Amino acid sequence: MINSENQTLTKDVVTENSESTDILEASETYFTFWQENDQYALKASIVREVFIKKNIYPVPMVPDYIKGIINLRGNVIPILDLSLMFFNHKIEETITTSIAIVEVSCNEEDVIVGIMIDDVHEVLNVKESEVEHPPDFGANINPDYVNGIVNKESGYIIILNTDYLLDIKKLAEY
Amino acid sequence: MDTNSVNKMFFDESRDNISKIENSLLHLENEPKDNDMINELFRNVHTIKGSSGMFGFDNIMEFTHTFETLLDKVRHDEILITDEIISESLKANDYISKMLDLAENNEKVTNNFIKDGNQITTKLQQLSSSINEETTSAESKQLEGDEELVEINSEGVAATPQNVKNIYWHISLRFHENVFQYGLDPFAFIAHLENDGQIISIVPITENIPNAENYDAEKCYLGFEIVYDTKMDKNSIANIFEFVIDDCDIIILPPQSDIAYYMNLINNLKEPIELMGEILVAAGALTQNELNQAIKIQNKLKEEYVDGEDVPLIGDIIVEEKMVQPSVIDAVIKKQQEIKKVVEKKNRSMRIDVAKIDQMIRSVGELVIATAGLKQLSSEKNYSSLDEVSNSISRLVEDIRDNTMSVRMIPIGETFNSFKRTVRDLSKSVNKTVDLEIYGGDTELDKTLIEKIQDPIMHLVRNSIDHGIENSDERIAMGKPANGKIVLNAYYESGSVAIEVNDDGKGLNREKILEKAYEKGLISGETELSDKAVWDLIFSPGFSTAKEISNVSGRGVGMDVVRSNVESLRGIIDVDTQENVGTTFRMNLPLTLAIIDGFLIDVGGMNYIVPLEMVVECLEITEEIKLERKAGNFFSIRGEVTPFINLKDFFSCSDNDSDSDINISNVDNIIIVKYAKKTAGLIVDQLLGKFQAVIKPLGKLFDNLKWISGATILGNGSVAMILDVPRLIQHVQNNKVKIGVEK
Repeated sequence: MINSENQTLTKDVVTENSESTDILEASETYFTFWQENDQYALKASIVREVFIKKNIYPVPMVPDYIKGIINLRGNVIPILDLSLMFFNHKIEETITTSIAIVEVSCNEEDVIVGIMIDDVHEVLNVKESEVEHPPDFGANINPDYVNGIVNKESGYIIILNTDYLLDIKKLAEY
Repeated sequence: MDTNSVNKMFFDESRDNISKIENSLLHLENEPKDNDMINELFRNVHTIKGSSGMFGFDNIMEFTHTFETLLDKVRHDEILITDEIISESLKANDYISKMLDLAENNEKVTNNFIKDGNQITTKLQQLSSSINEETTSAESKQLEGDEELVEINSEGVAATPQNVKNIYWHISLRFHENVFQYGLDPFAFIAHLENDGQIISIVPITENIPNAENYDAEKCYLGFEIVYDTKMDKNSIANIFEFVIDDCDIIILPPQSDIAYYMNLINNLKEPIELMGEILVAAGALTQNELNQAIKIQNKLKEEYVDGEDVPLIGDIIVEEKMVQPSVIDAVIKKQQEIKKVVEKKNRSMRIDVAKIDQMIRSVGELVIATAGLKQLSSEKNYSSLDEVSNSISRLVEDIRDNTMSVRMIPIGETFNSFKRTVRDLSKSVNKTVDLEIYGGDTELDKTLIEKIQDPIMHLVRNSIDHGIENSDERIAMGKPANGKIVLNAYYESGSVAIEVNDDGKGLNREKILEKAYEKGLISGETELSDKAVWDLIFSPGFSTAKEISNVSGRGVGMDVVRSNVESLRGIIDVDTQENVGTTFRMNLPLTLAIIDGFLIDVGGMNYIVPLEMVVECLEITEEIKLERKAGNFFSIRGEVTPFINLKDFFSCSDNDSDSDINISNVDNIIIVKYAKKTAGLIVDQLLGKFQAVIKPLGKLFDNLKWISGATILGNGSVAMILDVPRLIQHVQNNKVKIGVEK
């Protein structure tokens, strides 16, 4: 549902930009952010909101990548430490450290989790043809986490494979 | 009110009726002569038929009509209840339920489904028609082979204005053949009726006139159905026929309007009259003569029912013989029941959409949080009148919370009752006879809990029937009653609800379990296990002792699923068993799922909640207690040895905790918790007092997190975690065992 809306929205944007030849080409909107000097992208359709980090309450006896839980308008949401998952060290908290709330599905149920990121960058459209296959080596993170790479003016953006990265079932095994 | 909500009402109501029908049928299976139950059964089926017709579900109405026809005959004692009737009726009831499901979801009806329906319909029709003949002949026997009467009786059914608003008397007159020989003229009596009233219509019944060869001019072959308008009472009408009373069969039905009067009269009788016949006579609905006749029939039937079966009640005979209309009898029965003081408690109730209640509970949850915020603020501000207001608000909110939660609480009895059917069907399918006993049906639980506990109970009941209870021969050989017994029991126990499934079967077999567990690699076979530990093995994943997987106890997804279901409800399950005496599975569940009274504590700078109902006491650790400390993880508190853990150490050093020497020098608070008869002590940094916690689920990511069962939001917006006390206690107790073995 959300996805299809997003698709049409994308098309509208494309039309407004009068790139008429590309109307038929599928494109996707991405949310991009910085993490340790690299740009990463998540499908915008799964990102619910982004805000500056607030108080996180640690939960005892869970793996380190579960940073804790937060109170999001009366709901309790778990927070994942992306740095730990990517680079195996704890995130360095700065003034720009933010939390992106994303919605993933697990066993046909929607699960809401927050991920801690270094800094928010932008929201942008990426055409399917722009997405390149990830190189087999040379990436800083586990290649399984990567869906593709886009070369934009701001530099290379790594599109994350959220199905793998945020596989709740796997993350809940401890 | 839109059509949808009206339809929903219809579906809800019909489902209620369906479960009532099922219960009635199961009751009748054991007591087929319970006329109250038969009537209730008929009424419920009739209601479904009526309302489905009204709401335009014609297929349901048509199907139910056949069902109703059968039951109508049962109700009029034309058919005796047999096992076959019960089975077919249950099937029919299930089918109606399925039709309702389809109709509610607007699903297409498949051809197979229609075929099933037609099969049931045919079967029902067969049942109601085949036995019809039997009863006709039985009736003729009752009436000493008086064929004339039999004929007219079946005619009379059609002619009796049961559902017609008849404002006149109805006289059904059948002269005996020999009436002329006594010099009596039937016509004279009818003519006499005209003197004291008016004959509205008269229908001669001529069916009995034989063909010309057999016709005897000196015999009377006529009967009459007379609609009569008069101000006379029944006795006076009967008196008109006094001379001919021995030579004719006469049934006088009072007019409808007067029935109300009679019912009124019956209800107003002050003296406790036990005999219904006497009530009817006293009310004038029945003459003494008719009563005598009914008693005569009853006596005759008594002779026929040789083997001590229940004899039809006078009331039924009276209705059967059309002496009084059924509504009058109903009124009499009501009066009788009042006399016996079995007046059912009137439960005035209304239906509410669950979604509305859930919304209300969410709002109350937010209100509870907001109130906590206010309370905290007022204590910070140190302003006494604000304190006062916030205190009274929080008291009121507590009230609202309790009341709201109680709306969700429903007695478990209905759920228990639904197992009657399961037990019946399952025990039949494995050729065992099992009785189900139910206790504590009015124990109230949260509606969601009740819904979710149904599957585990079902599984346990299935297990008991399949594995626990022996077949009749084995039972008799062991000196047990031939019928197996399953007991469902529910009761409150220290802040939880206990639900027990108990059977009197063969009990768990220690050797078999050990063998199986060894086979499956669950145990090494070297360690000597206590009985308790052995019983616990049956809850291990992949454990199933059934040699062959039958359709009763399922596909080998066994007790581990039951356990995880119960634990997902924050409950625990354990088992007691004794060889050849039986097995009891006991589930302890929290009272509610949404809001709890909690005790707020601080451990290592984090806030935790202990459910208040599980808190026994909070103690300061005095020097005395420290001295009393036994080896390892024990305190002796007032002479009672209590195992304990230090939560801070426990939470910071992840799993390796059994050997750590617990450090208690810096802490001075201990909180004693109890769940399901077990106690443990938790050492905490700070006690922060009572707090109402709205339970927020932690979500899937924490599915495997032990010790924490949820989270809650405190007044200042911070998050506190709710300790899973039952599991903590279990852990501490197990640790105790371990240490006991080691030392």
